[in-house]
Amino acid sequence: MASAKVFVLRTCDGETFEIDESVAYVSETIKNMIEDGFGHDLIPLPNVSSKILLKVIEYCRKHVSNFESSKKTSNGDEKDKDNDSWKKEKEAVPEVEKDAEEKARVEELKEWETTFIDIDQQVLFDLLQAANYLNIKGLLVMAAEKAASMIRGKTPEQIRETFNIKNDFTPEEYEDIRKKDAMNDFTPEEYEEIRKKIADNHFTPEEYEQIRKENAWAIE
Amino acid sequence: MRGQDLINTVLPDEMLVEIFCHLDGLKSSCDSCSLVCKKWLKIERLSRRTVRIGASRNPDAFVKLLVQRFVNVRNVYIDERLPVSPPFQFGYPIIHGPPPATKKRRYSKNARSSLEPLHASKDSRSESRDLEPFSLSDAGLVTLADGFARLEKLSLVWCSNVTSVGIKSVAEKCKSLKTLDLQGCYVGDQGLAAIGECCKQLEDLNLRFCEGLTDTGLVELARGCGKSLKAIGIAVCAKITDISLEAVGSHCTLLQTLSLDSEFIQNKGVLAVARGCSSLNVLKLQCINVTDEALLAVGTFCSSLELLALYSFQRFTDRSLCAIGNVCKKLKSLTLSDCYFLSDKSLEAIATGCGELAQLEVNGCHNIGTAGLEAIGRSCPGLSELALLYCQRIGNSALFEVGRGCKLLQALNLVDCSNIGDDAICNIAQGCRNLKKLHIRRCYEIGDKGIIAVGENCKFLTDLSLRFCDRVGDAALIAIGQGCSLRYLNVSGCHQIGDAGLIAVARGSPELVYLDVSVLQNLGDMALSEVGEGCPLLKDIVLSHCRQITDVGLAYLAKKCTRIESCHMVYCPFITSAGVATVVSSCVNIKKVLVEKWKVSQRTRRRAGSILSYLCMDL
Repeated sequence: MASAKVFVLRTCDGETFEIDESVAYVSETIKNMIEDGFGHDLIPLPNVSSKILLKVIEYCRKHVSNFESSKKTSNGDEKDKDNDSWKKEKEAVPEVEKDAEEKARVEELKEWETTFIDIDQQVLFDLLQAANYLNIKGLLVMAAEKAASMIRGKTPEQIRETFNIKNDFTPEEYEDIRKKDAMNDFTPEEYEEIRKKIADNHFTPEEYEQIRKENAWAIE
Repeated sequence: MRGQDLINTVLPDEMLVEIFCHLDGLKSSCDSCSLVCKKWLKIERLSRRTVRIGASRNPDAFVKLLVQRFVNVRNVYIDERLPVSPPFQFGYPIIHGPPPATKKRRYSKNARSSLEPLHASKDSRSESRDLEPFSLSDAGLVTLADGFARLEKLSLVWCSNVTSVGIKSVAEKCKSLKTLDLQGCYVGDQGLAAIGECCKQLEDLNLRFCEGLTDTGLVELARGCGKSLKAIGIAVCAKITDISLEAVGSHCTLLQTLSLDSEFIQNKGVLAVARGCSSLNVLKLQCINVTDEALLAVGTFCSSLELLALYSFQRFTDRSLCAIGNVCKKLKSLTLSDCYFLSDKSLEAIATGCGELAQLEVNGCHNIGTAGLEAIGRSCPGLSELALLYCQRIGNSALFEVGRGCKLLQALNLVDCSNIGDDAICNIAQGCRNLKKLHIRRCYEIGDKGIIAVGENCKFLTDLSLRFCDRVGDAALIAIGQGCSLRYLNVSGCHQIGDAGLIAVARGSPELVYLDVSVLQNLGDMALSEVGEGCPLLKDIVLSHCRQITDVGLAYLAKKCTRIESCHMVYCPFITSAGVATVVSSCVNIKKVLVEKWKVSQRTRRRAGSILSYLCMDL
């Protein structure tokens, strides 16, 4: 790392935190503030509590160290540096194309991520807000994905139970919406499957003829 | 209330939108969210970004509904070929069988590709013709454009009533349009010109089967949004000629993808694109009148080329492929289909020059033989997908080299390769241990020995298809069952396979999702019950022409594999209406059953008429 420049952040509850430049730059908001000349004194973060900022800094530090080690094992280029690399890790990549070290790094990262985001709802939602305010895309995606995973596949009643939400529909309103929702709308998977089946000619003309000849028996 | 409702008190609406976007438009989850509480209903409606619909009885009214309900939609896909989903019956007609598009004959010299599924029912074809007046009209499209001003992707597939009028309003109202797909629509030049004038961010354009377009329209579009265009697809547009391509070559300098299927394009056009679009990444040509001259130009100017696909009786010779091999060092994917004049020299040149080659398909190129493939095996260590179709001249030693050199091979597809036998497959199995997909069809020299080797060596295999390989028997499947956990299995027509083989696979593949055992005369109820026991995730099953299976086996299967969504069982003499009824009642997710009409009782027809497809007797 070129410079060992350090910045000081202050939370809404008065606590201060010192972080390196590379860690600070993970947040686009902080990066912009520094580039606009506000880095000499304390950088105030009135919307973030110390409890949450600790978590955020933990994420940023991991992000930086992960990027450094990925540069060593693969030919990571500047593209990897942006926060989208978290999302890319999730996409399926054939195991053998990475060598052993790289594989281990990815595994470790996945485990770290799972532990990191295993938090109660209050912390999760505060983290989500902080990631949005501080403009840290990877953290925002991770937190939003965790919240979405708590919704996916559940019935309305189950979702309400998970989040303690009150059902404020009248029975008539509820029925009305439910009926309107049952419309002709495919998921991406259904769409692809149907398109493939339309294109898929189960037997070739030759095969079909062959089978017909072999199986000539009266239907009626 | 036990706990606090944090999600609604702590998070602002934008954060809820962000969370809902991660549901990926999964309809069931989105629908559930809209029923949680009033706030979530409002936000869910606001956060919907994508709408995908098929044919519906009154698409114009339907679009009005969508526009009122979801105001932030960015992507709309309307495909008039797709039938309405069975469970949703609001008096909509249920269409089974071929898409209404069959009235337009697809230009194809390749007799092997047929657009119409063979089990088509003549009734549904005439029924669907009657429905044509009900496809999306210009008025509907205007409503859509009005309602979704921030539209980014619009796909109108076979919407035959849409004309330039509708497209013009899209152009004027949806200036952020990035992707436009007008497959099979009769749009005219004014529509395209309007797009060129207004949609300066257009990146992706698909004009397949847009028979109403002429050069005028495309030239205007190229002039208007040439700077942003990255991908263009043209097929069977009789009035689009080299003139359009010359305009593309001069205005679309950032073009990356070009897909051309037309006998009206000649060398001049392709040359212009090659010269003008040096960032060309993907090139697919099915143009019978294009020759070496054009491809040589590609081989001179397009050094960024990564994907090259040449289809259907092209007249290219080794000269152009050698030029490609020399210059296009980044080539990753090559498809050569029916290129009669190409010989081993072409593949050798590609092998020498394109070391990063990852995908290769050779289809019916009768002058390419073993030597060409050997060269690939020796020089392309990154090869991950190989398909050899109708390659009678390629022999075992070709696959020896592939097995030795291509350790990263994941997918192998062999169709009608009569000279490839067990030894070749053994070599592949031992050399390419990362094999995930193996498809073999009508390769009569391949038998148990080769497949046993696969079972012993390829632990990652999940997709196996052995169709009409009459030397493959139970021993092969037993080895597969012991070594691999499959998700897809197709052994249609391998008539030596019986219960023992299937039972072994059923025991070894708990994640099996797709099973095709059609035309297996020796398969009986025992196998079906083992599949029921061992494969609870099964979604699709094909049992047609299995003469020995009866209602008993079928019932056992249906009761255990409750997730089955489709079941084909025609020409099974011992399956009766009782069996059909059991399938329909036990499989709660069932979406399609193909069976003889007379095997369906009145009661079953009443319960599940919409999901039943009948074998057409007149064929």
